[in-house]
Amino acid sequence: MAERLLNVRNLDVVLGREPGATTLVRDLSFSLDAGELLCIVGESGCGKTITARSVIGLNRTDPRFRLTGAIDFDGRNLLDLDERAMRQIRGARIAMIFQDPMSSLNPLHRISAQIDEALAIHTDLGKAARRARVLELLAAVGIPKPETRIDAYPHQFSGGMRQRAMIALALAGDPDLLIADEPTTALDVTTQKQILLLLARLRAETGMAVIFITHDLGVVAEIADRVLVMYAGQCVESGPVADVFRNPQHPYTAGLLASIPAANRGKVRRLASIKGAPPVLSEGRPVGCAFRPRCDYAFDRCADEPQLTATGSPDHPARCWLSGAARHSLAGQGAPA
Amino acid sequence: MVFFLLGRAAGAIVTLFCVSALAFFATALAPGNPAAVLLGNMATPERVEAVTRQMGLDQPPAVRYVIWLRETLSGNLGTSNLSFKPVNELLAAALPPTLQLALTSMLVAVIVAIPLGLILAQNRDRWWSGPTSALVTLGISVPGFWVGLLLIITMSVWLKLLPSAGYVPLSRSVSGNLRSMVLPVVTLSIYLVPPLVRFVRVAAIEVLREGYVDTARAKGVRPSSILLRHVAPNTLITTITYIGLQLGVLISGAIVVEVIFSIPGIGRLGMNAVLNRDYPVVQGVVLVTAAGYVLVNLAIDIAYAFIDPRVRAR
Ligand SMILES: Nc1ncnc2c1ncn2[C@@H]1O[C@H](COP(=O)(O)OP(=O)(O)OP(=O)(O)O)[C@@H](O)[C@H]1O
Ligand SMILES: [Mg+2]
Repeated sequence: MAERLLNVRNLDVVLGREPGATTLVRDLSFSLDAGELLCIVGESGCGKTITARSVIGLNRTDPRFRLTGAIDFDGRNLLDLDERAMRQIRGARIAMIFQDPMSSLNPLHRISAQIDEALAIHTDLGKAARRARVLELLAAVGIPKPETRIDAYPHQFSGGMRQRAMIALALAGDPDLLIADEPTTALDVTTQKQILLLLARLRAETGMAVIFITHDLGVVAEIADRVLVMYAGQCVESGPVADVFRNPQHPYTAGLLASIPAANRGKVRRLASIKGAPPVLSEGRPVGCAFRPRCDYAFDRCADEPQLTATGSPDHPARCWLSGAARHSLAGQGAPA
Repeated sequence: MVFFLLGRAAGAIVTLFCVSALAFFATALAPGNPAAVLLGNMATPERVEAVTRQMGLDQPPAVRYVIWLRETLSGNLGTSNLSFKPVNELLAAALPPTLQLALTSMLVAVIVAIPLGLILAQNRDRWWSGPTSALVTLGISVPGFWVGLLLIITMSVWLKLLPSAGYVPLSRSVSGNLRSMVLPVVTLSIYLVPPLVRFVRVAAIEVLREGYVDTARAKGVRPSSILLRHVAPNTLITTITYIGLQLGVLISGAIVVEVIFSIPGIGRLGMNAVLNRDYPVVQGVVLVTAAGYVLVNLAIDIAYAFIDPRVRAR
């Protein structure tokens, strides 16, 4: 098998120290090829942001968190690197954009200075060349008349423009992997669409891989190559997007799919939603399968914790005790009759 | 931004007017007749009454205020009831030591406290951060005059390194001036440093949680650069407001320090004037202090505009 760009193996993220430590991410494994777009979906609080921050190493120096397992990126385990080596990767090979563009830019620095800072760290360009490059980047993310906006301050930009500037900033180091953590959630609907299209176009142009975190399965269907469904800090199912959407292998995925508004699916169906709420991980994790209390298919085996195992279709593992036949009925059903 | 500053300047002038009225009426309406104090216990009632009239003290307070305000605006603050010297002259003599003491102490406090607060914030998870912060908090509860006396005992009485009292003007001897200022400045700084460290630490911890700090880290910026380029300027915005508020501490601290170290400054002048009901001097001291307060706050507003483009845009 060819070397994958990113290979996360058995990642655990533990918050706090024993006793009273909580496992926010548990036994998470997934991988990503160069140029691939992976969507991570799941309800609020299931550990998507923690996962993203672990990959780019934003929480590795935070003494409250303990990370174990492996995050292999381009052949090196990022968890083994020291902070200095990690800094050379951050912003250069892995970049990240955040949910709230209103707070992710420094209000006291000009847009040009904030992008220039990344260029100064990761490139050998001189001052003038860096400024030319900033202009290029701003043009690439669709900021109109960038030569008149380059020295603006963040407060002079709208939310959508700020997110574009953030994307330009993320692209400054020409990354192999861009992590986008709900980059459109804070924006209005039209702007959401524009940012989404922009990211899709930039990905095609640059060939970078993207981890896109979202709640919106409609977006997943539109842009993802593969999808990772998270529940209570674990991967419950992952696979090629078409396969997962057509043949969900976990009742949670099926439930999520059933709750997409009909307009996004093209078929008329009852809008279902999953009963109950996800566990609050800081209050302890349910025994056995974490989804069991909310699952309509739960049976006695679910008292034991299931492992992520291969299913019938290739590259499409799931974490569920249901038999292949039972899972087959999940497709196109959402919730059992 | 021009409008912003003009607005602030207008506000400053209004404040000064209010303070002038307050300074005047607080002293004018205070019990005790300055004429009687001036003449001492042996004066006859007739003599007291004559001097009262001569000093204009028999007029209604409102009339006296208008007269006083007119005189003040034309630069005449009256004469001391005690020394019969013009108040202007007394203030001009007392201002340099106080300015030197206050400004140097504030400068020292800022230079010590801001980096310390920032470093404590950035390393809040290290083992030494807790004890250091606790030590700083302890410093807040240590009375400044006690530190001053301790310094006098060790540095001047025992070690005989530095003078324990008095003020040498810069014009007379530079080295003498500096030597005479060391202990007072250290004492007054100790008033200012602990609360400022604590404020900066809390403000910087707040800033460290901001999204743009994550952005900077995700860019691969070094922690020292994050602190200098991103955290420090954003912390400074709230900190300069706090420094403005701390001026009150600075002024009251300066009075204590001037008394302990016998520095002939505004604080000591005002203190003696109050004790002797020397109202023209009290009014002059209050006015000068208030003007200083207002000027510094105006300077702080200008500093805001320098640091924060959102303020400049207003
Ligand atoms: N710094 C932190 N300290 C304590 N708990 C945290 C911290 N960060 C996250 N958590 C907890 O970890 C869990 C997962 O959080 P995370 O932010 O990864 O969720 P998420 O999937 O990104 O949710 P959302 O869709 O709302 O962004 C949550 O229960 C949250 O309360
Ligand atoms: Mg999140």
